[in-house]
Amino acid sequence: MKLNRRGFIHRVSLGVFTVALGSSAIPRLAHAVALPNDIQRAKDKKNLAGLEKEHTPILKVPLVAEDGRVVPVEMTLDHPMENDHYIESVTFVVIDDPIASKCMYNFTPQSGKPFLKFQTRMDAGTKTVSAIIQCSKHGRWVGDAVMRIVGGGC
Amino acid sequence: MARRKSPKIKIVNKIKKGDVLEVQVSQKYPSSTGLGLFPDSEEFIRKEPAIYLNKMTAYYNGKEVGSLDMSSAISANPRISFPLKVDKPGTLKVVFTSNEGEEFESTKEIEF
Repeated sequence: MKLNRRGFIHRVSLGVFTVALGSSAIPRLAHAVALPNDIQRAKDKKNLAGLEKEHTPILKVPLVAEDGRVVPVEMTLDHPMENDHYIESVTFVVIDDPIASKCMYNFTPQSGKPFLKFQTRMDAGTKTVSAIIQCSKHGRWVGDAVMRIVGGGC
Repeated sequence: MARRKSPKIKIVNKIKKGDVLEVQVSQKYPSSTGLGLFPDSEEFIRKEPAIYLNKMTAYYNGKEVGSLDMSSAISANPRISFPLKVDKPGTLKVVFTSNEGEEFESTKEIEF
């Protein structure tokens, strides 16, 4: 089967998605999922340098969410959106959640600025939300935020 | 099956030529993950099929300008905000599809 670049990225980014959701045929859902190991991460989140500044997604989530059925998530990034250099996609993952992969937005240069807001379901507990962006020139980068969910929403 | 309404499209900021708009879209849809807890444990099992919106696609003047692939973890009645840079007036169309094959769409005219 032939895959174009976007199709390949989509499949790899959503690898955890397949693991978590593809398990519907077996009784228990898989929890042992992990982010792909070629993702770049800022060395010091408080002191971003060089490419890290343009490629580390900034996540806005509440510190504590009472209702796990509607957890607000917002991602912004200061990155150019030009025809030959732009953010192609952002994928949201919560590794240890029953449904690890939340969603993936595919941007175009006409998006103008990479940002996205949505609400998602999460299980109760302390969770790390990860946003993985795909830059057309500089590969994949991740940014994350930790929060606590009081009432599970799965 | 109950007839569902079309999505609502709202432009959050003031519309100016060349600006990046924040487009807020909401769609009434009672999604469900279909998960439940395994008896006497804290592990989830699939109890019933998931029902959810699995895709949102935005078009401006007929050209695709963004799309969102969703899992069943996206909340019921989702409200999604995404960016759109507009250089000329046109028609914004948003289409949602569900994993059961339903389709919902709305359009909004963008004028300066």
